[in-house]
Amino acid sequence: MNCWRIENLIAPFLDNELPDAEAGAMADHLEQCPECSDKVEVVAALPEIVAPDLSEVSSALMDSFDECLKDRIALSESLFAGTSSSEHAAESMAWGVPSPPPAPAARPASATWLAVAAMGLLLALAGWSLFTQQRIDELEQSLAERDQLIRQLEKQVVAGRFDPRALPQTAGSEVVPVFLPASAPTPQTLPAGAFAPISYGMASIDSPRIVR
Amino acid sequence: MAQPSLKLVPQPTPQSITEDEIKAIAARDRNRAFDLLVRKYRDRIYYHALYITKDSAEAFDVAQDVFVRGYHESRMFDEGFKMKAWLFRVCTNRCYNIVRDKHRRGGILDRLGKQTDVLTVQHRAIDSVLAKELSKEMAAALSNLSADHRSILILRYYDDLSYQEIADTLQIKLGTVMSRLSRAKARLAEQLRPEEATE
Repeated sequence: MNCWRIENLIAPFLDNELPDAEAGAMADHLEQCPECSDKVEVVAALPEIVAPDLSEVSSALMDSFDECLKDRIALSESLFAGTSSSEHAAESMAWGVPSPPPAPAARPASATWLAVAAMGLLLALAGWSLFTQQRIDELEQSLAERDQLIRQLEKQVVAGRFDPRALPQTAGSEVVPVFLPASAPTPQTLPAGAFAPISYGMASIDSPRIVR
Repeated sequence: MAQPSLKLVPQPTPQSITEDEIKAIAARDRNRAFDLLVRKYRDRIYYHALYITKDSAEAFDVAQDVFVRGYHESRMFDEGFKMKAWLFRVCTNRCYNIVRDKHRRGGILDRLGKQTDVLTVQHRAIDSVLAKELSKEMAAALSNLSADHRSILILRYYDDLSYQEIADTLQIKLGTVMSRLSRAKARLAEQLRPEEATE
């Protein structure tokens, strides 16, 4: 018997749960191995682990256990009334719980009202969905137009033909280049090195690029 | 003069009926069998939940849940079905789930209404006694162990289950019960005597 095995048998050895042969082999090992013997002694020195005695204080509570359990079972029966078997229903009765009432027959009037309400809800949802889709389409078209304009402006900038004063007038912006003074330089008056390659240390950009 | 040997004969109690006897009764009357099952194990299941949760109201709730599940367990009275191990296993799992999800308890107790109010006083009394009876050092040391180690120590020394019953409850081999229990006790000793364990 090796030390690893001993370590795994300390509890049953101290609880007298080992077969005689194994307990004898373990005792022999402990006589020869002070390390294992120390480990067993540490565990043996543990204070006794005993359950607190609560029988007196809990007896009143336990008296109400069955009553509460019946309520709980009745609740579980009612929650699963649709799936409970007739056998379970009979048992519920014996436990003082009335069996779940049989499912009421479907009433045509309420079923019709339910169907009408459901249809109304579906129509309202469909209408709302259509309206929303139209609005999305409009916004997408508007965005596409803006994209096209931006691409044109980019081309003008790259080609050096960009003139902010020539920007198209759009709704709500009567004076477009408000951020540019009247004396702002035109592309023609910009110095030659305005679009020179820029060095960022590790990487360099050879020429201005527009990423789409 | 030699002392005459005295043999204590236990009084018949609901706890003394065997599982096989309950199963035999279930063949004729399932309700009677379930009633006996509840009376046999309700205290032990409640205490087991109490040792883990340290809260009487939660333990009571767990014990109730365990027996509701037992009521709906179709295999409960089948031949070879280990009722005690099943109850302790469900109880252990329930306890750790409930400790993780405390909101759930509120929902169920709310549905029980006035009974909860009546029981509250009793729960408080039990919590108070439990706090006094449990050694603070031992309780602190146990709470520092892993859930596996804490469970197996509670099953063995608080619930007084045999090694085989622990194996059935935790669905592990007998050898694993021995080694896990040995390691759990070694860890517990480290917790209670940290200055020596770290030398």
